[in-house]
Amino acid sequence: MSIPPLHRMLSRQAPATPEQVEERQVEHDWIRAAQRGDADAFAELVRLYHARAYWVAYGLLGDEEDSRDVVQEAFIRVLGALERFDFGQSFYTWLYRIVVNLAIDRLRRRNKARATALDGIAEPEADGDSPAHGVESAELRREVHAVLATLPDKYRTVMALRELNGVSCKEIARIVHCSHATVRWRLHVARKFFKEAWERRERQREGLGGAS
Amino acid sequence: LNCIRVREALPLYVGGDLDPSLESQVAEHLKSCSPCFRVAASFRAALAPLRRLAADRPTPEGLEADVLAAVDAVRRDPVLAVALAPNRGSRRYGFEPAALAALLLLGAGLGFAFLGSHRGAGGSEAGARPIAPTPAATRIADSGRFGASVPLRHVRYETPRDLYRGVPPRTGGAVEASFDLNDEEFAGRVRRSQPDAAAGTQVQGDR
Repeated sequence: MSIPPLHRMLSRQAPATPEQVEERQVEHDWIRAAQRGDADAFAELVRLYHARAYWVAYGLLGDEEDSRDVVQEAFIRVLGALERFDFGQSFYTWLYRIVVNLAIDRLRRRNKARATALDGIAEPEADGDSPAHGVESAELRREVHAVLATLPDKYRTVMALRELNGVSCKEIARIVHCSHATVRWRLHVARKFFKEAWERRERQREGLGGAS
Repeated sequence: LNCIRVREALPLYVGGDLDPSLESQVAEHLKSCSPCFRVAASFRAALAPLRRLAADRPTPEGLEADVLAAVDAVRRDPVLAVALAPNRGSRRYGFEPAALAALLLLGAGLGFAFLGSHRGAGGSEAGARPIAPTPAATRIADSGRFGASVPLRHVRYETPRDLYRGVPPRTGGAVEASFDLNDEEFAGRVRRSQPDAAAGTQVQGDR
């Protein structure tokens, strides 16, 4: 089963349709019920958003286990802070912000572990992909994430949100707490970085193929 | 638009992220400029794998159940609820300071209430620097469900999932905590994984 079409509400120019307004209203009803301690309402939010949150985390981390951990931790944070939810903002913006922050924390821990590898602390191996993601796309996913991993965190974040999850630039600005112009600039730089790195990788592969 | 400006705009153009007015100008330019058209095509080709992956995002198997189980575990376990409560006012969603503050107050209050002088020193230390407890901590303190204060100063959960499953954190170096969440009787164990793995502290409570 695939995730339903993502971010209809996030389309950058589209105004809110009556269906979107209704969806938002239903979502707010669940949040209010969850705030009153209704476990089923919270479960509904989990059902709706867990897969999207996972792919946001995966876009940054490129690792299935780490991404699952981040999603669990994110929902627990949401549970603890739900009383303070601001109904003026979108639930997914809030959730994605938590997911992105947790994923970046994890990336930094990974980098630290790499830096202190000489002290004997093992660095978790990126799994690249697993059968859960489909065999056909496994190789492609591994290669894409190997290239994304070469980008600095702030560029990787916008690439993961925009390219892999279809989040609009305006929404990314709300998620990462910076201006729309900054997001567009980062996206501009990130796409150039990615293109160069991807083409370099292709050339290397062709060179290896020609040598063998 | 000249070629230099068009090529500057291409990274955003290929993703549909340009302003509509500039987008149409770039599109017009590309119709008549083959060098720029080739650069645009190379951008599209390089970004195509990302688009393919974006279209192929299956729902992760078992994740919903795992999340719900972890959430349920936190709901049922007041220590976890306090320890994992987000830190108010923190954009990083750190929980350790909030958890420590809450647990210090909890320890102090319960120490005085239930253990008399047994935990008196810790109580006066916490009282010297009052920090507002989280609502979760207050609820636990009010319920009086714990019979002993919990020295959780050094406790750090790597992930709720590690905690939920009771497996040691993979990254190592942190102090771990594990709880048997299937037991009706709450009996958590908090221990330091490094450097003195043998040192352990039993945490007891009732439901």
